[in-house]
Amino acid sequence: MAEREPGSTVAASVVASVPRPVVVLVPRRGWRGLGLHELWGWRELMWALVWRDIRSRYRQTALGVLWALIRPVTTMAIFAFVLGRLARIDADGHPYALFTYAGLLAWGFFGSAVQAAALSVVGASSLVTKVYFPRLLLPLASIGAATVDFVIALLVLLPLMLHYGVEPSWRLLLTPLVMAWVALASAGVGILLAGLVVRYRDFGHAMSFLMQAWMYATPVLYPLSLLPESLRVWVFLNPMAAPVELFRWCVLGGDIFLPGCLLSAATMLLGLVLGLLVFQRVERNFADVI
Amino acid sequence: MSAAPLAIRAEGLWKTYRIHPPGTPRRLLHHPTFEFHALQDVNFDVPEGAVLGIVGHNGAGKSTLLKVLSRITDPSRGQVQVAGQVASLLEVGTGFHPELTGLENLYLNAAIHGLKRATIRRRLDAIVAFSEVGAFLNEPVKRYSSGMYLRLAFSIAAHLDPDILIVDEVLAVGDGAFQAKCLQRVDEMQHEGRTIVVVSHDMNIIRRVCKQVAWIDAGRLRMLGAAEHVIDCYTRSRTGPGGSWLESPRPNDRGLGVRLLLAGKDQPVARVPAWTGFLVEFSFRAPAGTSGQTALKIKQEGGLTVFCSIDTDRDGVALRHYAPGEWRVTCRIPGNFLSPGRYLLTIAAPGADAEAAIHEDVLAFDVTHEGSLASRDGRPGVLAPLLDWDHVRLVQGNERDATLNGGDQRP
Repeated sequence: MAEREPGSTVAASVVASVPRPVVVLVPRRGWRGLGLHELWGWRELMWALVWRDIRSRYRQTALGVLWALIRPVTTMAIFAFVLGRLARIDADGHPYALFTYAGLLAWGFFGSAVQAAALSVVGASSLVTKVYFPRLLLPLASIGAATVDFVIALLVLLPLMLHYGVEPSWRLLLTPLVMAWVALASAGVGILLAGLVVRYRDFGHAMSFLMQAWMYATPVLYPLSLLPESLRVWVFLNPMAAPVELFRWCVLGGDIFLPGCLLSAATMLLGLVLGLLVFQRVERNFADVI
Repeated sequence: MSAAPLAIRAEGLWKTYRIHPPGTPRRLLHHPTFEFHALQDVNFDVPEGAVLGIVGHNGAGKSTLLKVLSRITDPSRGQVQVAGQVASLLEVGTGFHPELTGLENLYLNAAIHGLKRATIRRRLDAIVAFSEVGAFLNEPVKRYSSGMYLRLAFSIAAHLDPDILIVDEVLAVGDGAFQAKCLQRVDEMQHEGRTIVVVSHDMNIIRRVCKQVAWIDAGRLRMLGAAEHVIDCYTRSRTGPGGSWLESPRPNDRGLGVRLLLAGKDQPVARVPAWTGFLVEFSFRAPAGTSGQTALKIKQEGGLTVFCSIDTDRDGVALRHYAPGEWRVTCRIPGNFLSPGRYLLTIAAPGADAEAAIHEDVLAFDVTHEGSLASRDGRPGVLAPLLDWDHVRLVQGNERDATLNGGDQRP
């Protein structure tokens, strides 16, 4: 029995009478599978954690869930004033407020999901040291909770579109796909950071300004047309460039740069794989180093 | 272990931590470290349906063992086979969120222990009834008293119904009545054929629920066998010939010694006659900044606390500061006070910045029958104190009868 996979389950007891699944706990070394099957078995805990985050986030606040609206709307208003009114950025002929709100929505979802996921494991240190469950649930649940805020902020989009005379089109039906893309992109980065922050809190400190720099590197506040032609392909090395562009396309229409989107999708998948690999590598001693 | 199926089999279990020695500089990526073996070559089997107790000093490796068994951390070497579903209770109320209500926390906590929502719903009534907090279920738990909090948390734990339950020091929650209920629940689980592994410092609990006990000492399995025998060996091990210098659990710890002395003698003793009384002497080296209280607790061997005493009881000094140097603090325990029997002494000594270092069960001693009141007439009681009695005649017999009669005739 010594060479069995750790955590593997076989349908036989040590001495078989009532067959119970036997789990063999041995030191885990090297690269391992992700245990997706086991993760699926624990999905109820993930919902419970998502629900805990949502329930507790706006407890004992007077405005409650309105905060999920206030944040993106005020951010949009500030940028619309500074960049749209004062700096007069040309948003390819679209109303700048709507243009930037669409960008900020997609980016805001990414930003808050990454932030929450990165701190999810250290934030749950009392759980991690006291009870077993697949640790991957923690960053995944934070991303789930961030999704809810995003959906609420999405509600403002329609009135805003009507206000600026932009007619909703069939493209809006594709927003869930773009949303899933953003969720996967944030999962890659968030899971990677979650694993690293457990050992080095430095990553947590670096994260906030890194995310800010990243936002400016993404066409959130400005249209791609502002960039020199030669730079445009490089912008799409950023896994968030395509979903921001695509989300805006769903709202406003216009052209999409297909090769760029494919490049962006590739870097997103790369990030996701890297994040998962690193996480499963470091999660085995979370309880010892957290 | 003939044909009984096994619930747990641990083979050659090691757990090694890398410890950063205090006082050395911590560099960015390369820390100087040394290896600390929290578990060393531990082997044991737990048959299905058994209740195994684990005893040992603080820092002996009990909790590490439980963490390995419950999959919280990997072993460094060796392996454990675990047959069946495991629930571990290393703390009461793991994952409770203060802002959420009792009911919400109940669902969350059960999910954390791997219970399905449908299962929880089925057991909800039983859990709520057990917890006795029914009226407050829709209040956030931050408004709960600590007793209610513990009761709710333990009730969930008591209804997880896993194949194997791993419990660390949480059976002794709540008041006496609730504690009895918890222990009864453990009995029920045992009758249902569940396997239980329990760590406790309370020998009463261990004796009450376990037939088999494992004694972990400095990371090794020192003894595994019938509960009474192992507990006896374990409690005896902590007493040298009347005094013991504590092993410092950490490097740089201040030296601390505790002895029992009879008045006027300098030879430490392990047996004191019931009528004489004795001194508990603490001697320690105080580095600069040492402050705080010195305290002692005397327990019966079974775990019942007989009394505690603190050095500030008399003078009311809240925070005593110790100038650097060697100190001796003594406490006098009177004669004709403790009943004959075996007792355990737990002490707390002042430390840096008033942080007391508590040393559980540092030594055991016997109070002998010699001259004791209890052995004169076999009276029961934890204490057999010699108390003052006064006898005063208030009124003379005849007068008193008259008064009583007069009283009876009143309407």
